[in-house]
Amino acid sequence: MNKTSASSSLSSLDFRTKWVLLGLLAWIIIPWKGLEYGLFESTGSEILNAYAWKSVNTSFISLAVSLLFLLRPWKLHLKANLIDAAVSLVTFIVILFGAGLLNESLGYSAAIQLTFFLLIFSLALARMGFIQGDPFMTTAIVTIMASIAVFVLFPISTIFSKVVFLEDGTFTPMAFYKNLTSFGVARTLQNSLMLAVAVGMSSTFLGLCFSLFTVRITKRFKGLARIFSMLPIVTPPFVIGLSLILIFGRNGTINDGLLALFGTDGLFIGAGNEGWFHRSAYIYGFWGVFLAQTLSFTPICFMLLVGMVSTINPAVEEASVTMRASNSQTFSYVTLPLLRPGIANAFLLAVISSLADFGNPMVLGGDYDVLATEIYFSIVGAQLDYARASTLGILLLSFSLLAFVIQRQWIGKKSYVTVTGKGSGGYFQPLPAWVRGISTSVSLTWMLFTAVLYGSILLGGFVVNWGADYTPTLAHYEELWARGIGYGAWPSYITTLKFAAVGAPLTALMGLMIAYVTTRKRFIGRGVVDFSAMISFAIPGTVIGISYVLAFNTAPILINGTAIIIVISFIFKNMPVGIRSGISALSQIDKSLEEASLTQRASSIRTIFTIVLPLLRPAMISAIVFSFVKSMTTVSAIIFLVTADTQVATTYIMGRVEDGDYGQAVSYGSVLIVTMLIVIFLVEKFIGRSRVERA
Amino acid sequence: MKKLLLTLPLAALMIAGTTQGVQAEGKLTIYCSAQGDWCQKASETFGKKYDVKVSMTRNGSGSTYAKILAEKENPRGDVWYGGTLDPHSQAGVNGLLESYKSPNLDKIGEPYRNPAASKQNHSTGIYIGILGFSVNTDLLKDAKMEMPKCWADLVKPEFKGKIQVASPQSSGTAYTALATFTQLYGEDKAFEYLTKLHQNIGQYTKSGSAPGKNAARGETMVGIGFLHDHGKEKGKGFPLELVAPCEGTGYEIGGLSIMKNARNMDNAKKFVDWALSKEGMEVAATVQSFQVPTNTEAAIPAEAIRPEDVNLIDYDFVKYGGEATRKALISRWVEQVKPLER
Repeated sequence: MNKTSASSSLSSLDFRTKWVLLGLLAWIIIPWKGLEYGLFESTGSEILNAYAWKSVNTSFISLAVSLLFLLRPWKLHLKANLIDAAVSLVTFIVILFGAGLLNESLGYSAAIQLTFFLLIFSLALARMGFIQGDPFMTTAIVTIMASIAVFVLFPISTIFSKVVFLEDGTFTPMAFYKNLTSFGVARTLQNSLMLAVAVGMSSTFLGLCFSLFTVRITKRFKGLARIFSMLPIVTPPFVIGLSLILIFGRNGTINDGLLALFGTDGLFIGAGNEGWFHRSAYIYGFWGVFLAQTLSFTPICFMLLVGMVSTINPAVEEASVTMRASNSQTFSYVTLPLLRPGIANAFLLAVISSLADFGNPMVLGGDYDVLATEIYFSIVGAQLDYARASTLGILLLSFSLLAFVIQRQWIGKKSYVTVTGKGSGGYFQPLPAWVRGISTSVSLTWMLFTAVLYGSILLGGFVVNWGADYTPTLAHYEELWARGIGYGAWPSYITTLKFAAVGAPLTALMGLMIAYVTTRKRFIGRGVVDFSAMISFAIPGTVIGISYVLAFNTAPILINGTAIIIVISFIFKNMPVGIRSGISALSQIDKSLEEASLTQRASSIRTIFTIVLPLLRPAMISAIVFSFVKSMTTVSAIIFLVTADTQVATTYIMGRVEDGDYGQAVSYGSVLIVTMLIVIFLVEKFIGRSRVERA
Repeated sequence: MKKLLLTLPLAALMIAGTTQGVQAEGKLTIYCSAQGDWCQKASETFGKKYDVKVSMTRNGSGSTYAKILAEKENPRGDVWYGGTLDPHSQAGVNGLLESYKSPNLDKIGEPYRNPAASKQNHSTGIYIGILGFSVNTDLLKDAKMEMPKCWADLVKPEFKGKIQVASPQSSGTAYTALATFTQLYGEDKAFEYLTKLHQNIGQYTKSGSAPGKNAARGETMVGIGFLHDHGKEKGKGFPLELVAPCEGTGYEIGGLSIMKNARNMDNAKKFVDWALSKEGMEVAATVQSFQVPTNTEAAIPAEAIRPEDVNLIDYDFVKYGGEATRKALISRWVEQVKPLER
C-alpha cells in the first residue's frame, strides 16, 4: 500500500479556502433559515427574514469560524491538522445543537456550510493519516457516518426513547419488559419468524432456480424470464394482494374450480356425496401471506443471484471437469459453493424483507398477526401506544440483526474470488440433468402462475366492477388519465417519477459506497456503519415514517412536509439493497486489482472510477434499477410524510383501495407496472445490461 | 464525491422548486379522514369559494391522530375534517386542539355541538353513521338461509365462518361495535355474546371498512361495520342488504376540529363555519357518502339510514371514548375472546 497523504500543503490549503469562500458566498445570497412553505411558495418578506444577516442567529457562529479558517492563526502549529479537525467538527455540532436549542430551523445555506465544515474535517483527518491518508475515502466515510447519524440513528432514537419515556416525559424503565411479556406477543413473534424462514427458503430456492434457468439453461426465454422475474418487484403493494384474492379468494377462480371437482356433488365425489372440499378462505392467513411474499421477494433473490451466477469464472468449472469430476459433482462442489455468499445474502434479504413486510400481511393476513402489522396497529389502531410499537419494533429489529449475524458466520472467511486480474477464459460446463430438470420445471410453473396473476390485474382495470360486474369499460382509465394534466392520477404520477429519479442514483451510490468502505477499508466505526445501514432496512416502514415525523418536524432540521424528506426516506429505506449487492459483487472481485492500481500511484478516486466501478457495473445497475422501482412502490414509510403537494402514486392507490375503487386501483397499478418495465428496459438498453463483459 | 456533495443541495433545490403554486388569499392545510372523494370535493369547493389555497392530506383517523400527535411541537395541519370522533376526543384531551364555537353551531343538532370528551368545544359533530351489518343476498340465497335481522341472529350456528368483523385491536369501527355491545348488554353479557360470535367469525379483518367490502364481493356472507360504508358498495351494484339490528345499535359521530396553534387559524375557522353550514354538509351526498348530516337544515340523502328509523342506543361518547375504558375493553377482548379456538 502506498501513501497518498503527501499532497502538498499549498493545494489543500487552496481547497479549504475555496470552500470557506463558497460558504461565505452562500451565507450572503442564500437564505440561512428554513422556509415554512418552501422557496417558491413563500412571500418576499418570508424569504428576506430567512437570510442569515437579517437577525441574530447561529449563522454568526458559522461566519466567525469561516473567517477564522481564512486566517488560520494556528497554521504553523505542529498539530495544525488536529486543530482544523477539532474546530470544524465542534462548529458542526454546535450549529446543529444550537439551532435545535434556539428552535431555529436550518435552510439551504446552513446545509451548504455544514457540508463544507464536514469536508474540512475530513481533509484534516486524512492529513492526519486516517485511511492511509486518503482524502477521498476519508471524505466518503465521514459523509456516510454523518448522514447515517442524522437520518437513521437520530430519528430511530426518537421513537425508541418512547419505550422508556411516557408522553409526558416520565421515565418508566419497566414498560419494555411489561410490553414484551404482554399477552399475544410471543405468538406474534412465532408467527413472524415461521413466516420469515419459510419465505426466505422458498424465495431463495425459486431465485436460484430462476437464475440458473436464465443464465445457464436456456437463452430462449431470457427476455421473457426477465420480465417475469421483475413483475412482482414493479407491482405496487396492494395490487398483488388484490389479484391473489381474485384468484384464490373465497369466491375466486380456484375455489370455484375445486368445488366443482371435489366439493359436494363434485366431479370426483359423485352426486349426493358429501365432498371433502368446502369453499374456504384459506388464502387469508399463513399461506396467503407466504405466497404473496414469496412472489414479492423471489425477484430480490433472483437479482442478487443472477449477478453471481453470471460472474462465475467458467475456468473453475472447466478445471473440475478436466479432473474427471462429473457434472453433478462439479455443480455440488464447485458451482454451488461459489454461490454461497449470494445464496446467504438472498436468504438473509428475503428473511428480513418478510419480517419487515407490511403490505401483504395487511391485505392477506387475516388472523395471522405478524410483528410488522402489529406495530402499525399499535400506532394507528384503536389505541395509539408508542411504547408497545417501539417494544415490538425492537423485537423485530433484534431478529433481523440476528439473521444478519448468522449469515455473516455462514459465509465465513472463505474466498469466493472468481474475478481476478488473471485471464478467465473457458466455457461453462453443462449443468447436471437433475438441476436442469428442477430449475426448468420450477421456473416454467412460476412463469405460468405469474402470467395468470398479472393477466387478472390487467383485465381488472377494464371491467366495471371487479368481483361483481364484468362488463368491459374504459371508465377507470378515463377517470384517471383523460381529465388533463393536473387532474386524476397525473399529479401523483409525475411526482412519483420525479422523486424516484432523484432518489435512485443517490441510493445506489450511497449503498455501493458503504459496501466498498465496509468491505475494503478498516476504520474506527466500521461496525457502526454496517449495523446502522441494516437497521433502516430491518425496521418496518411505518416506524421509519413516524420516526421521521417525530425527528424532522422541529428545529434544527425541519423538513417534514417537504419533498426532501420523502426522497431522503427513500434513500435510507432502500440503501441496504445497494449495500447488499455491492458486498456480494465485491466479495467476488480480487482486492489485488485495486492494490495494483494503487501501487502504480493511481489515486483512490481514479482507482474507483477505472477499476472498481466498471467491475461493479452489474451491481450498480441493479441497485439503481431496484431503488428506482422500490421508491415507486414504497407505501408504508411515506404514509405519514406525504402532503397534498407530495402525493405519490402508491398513496393515491391506497386511497382508491380504501374507498373500494378497486377498478381504479388496479388500472393505476397496471400503468405503474408498465412504466417501471419501460424504465428498466431503457436503462438496460442505454446504460447496459447487468452483466460483466468478459474478455 | 466533491461534485456529488455539491449536487445534493442543488437537487434539493430542484425538488423544492417543483412545488409551485399561485398566491391566493391565504393557505389552509386540511387533514381529512372522511372518504377520499368527499375530502377532495370539500377542499375544492371551499378553496374556490373563499379563494384559499387548500392542501388536503387524506388519512384514516388513527393515522391522522398519530400524525398530529407526532407534530405536536410544530403543527403542520390546520383543520381535521371527518373521521370517527374518538381520536378527535383523545386529541382534545391531550391538548392538541383549539377551542372554537362556530356561529353556525345553533343549526347543529344539540347532542353534536360539543360531543368530545374534553367538553371544551374542541370538536363538533358533522355527521352520524350507524353501526350494523350487511348481508350478501346472493350467498344467502345459495345457502338457503333466512335474512338475519338482529344481533342475536348472528350467533346462530348456521352462520359459522360466514361473518366478518374488524379486530378491535386495529380498528376504531370494531371498537365502536365492542362498546355498543357493552352498552347494550352490560360488560359481562357483552363478552358472552362476543365469545359466541367468535365461533361464527370467518376472519377478523384489520380495517373497519373491509368487512363491508368483502361482503359486497362475496368474500363473506355477513360483514359488520358502519352502514354508510356499506351503502356506498351497494350503490356500485353489489348484492348487499343493509341491516340495522333490531335490539338497537350504536353509532359514530364524525368529528371536525381545529389544531392548536394552527398556522392558518383564520382560514381554519372559516372552513369550520363553512363545513357546518347547509352547503358544506350537502357536499357529502354528491359523492355518494350517505351519512346523516348533523346540520338540521341540511337535506338527509334518500339513501341514508335515518336515525329515527333505527333503534339507536344512547351511546356514551365521553365514557367509551376515554382512554382508560378503551384500553380495558380492548385488552379484555384480546385476552378472553381472541385466543379461543373456533
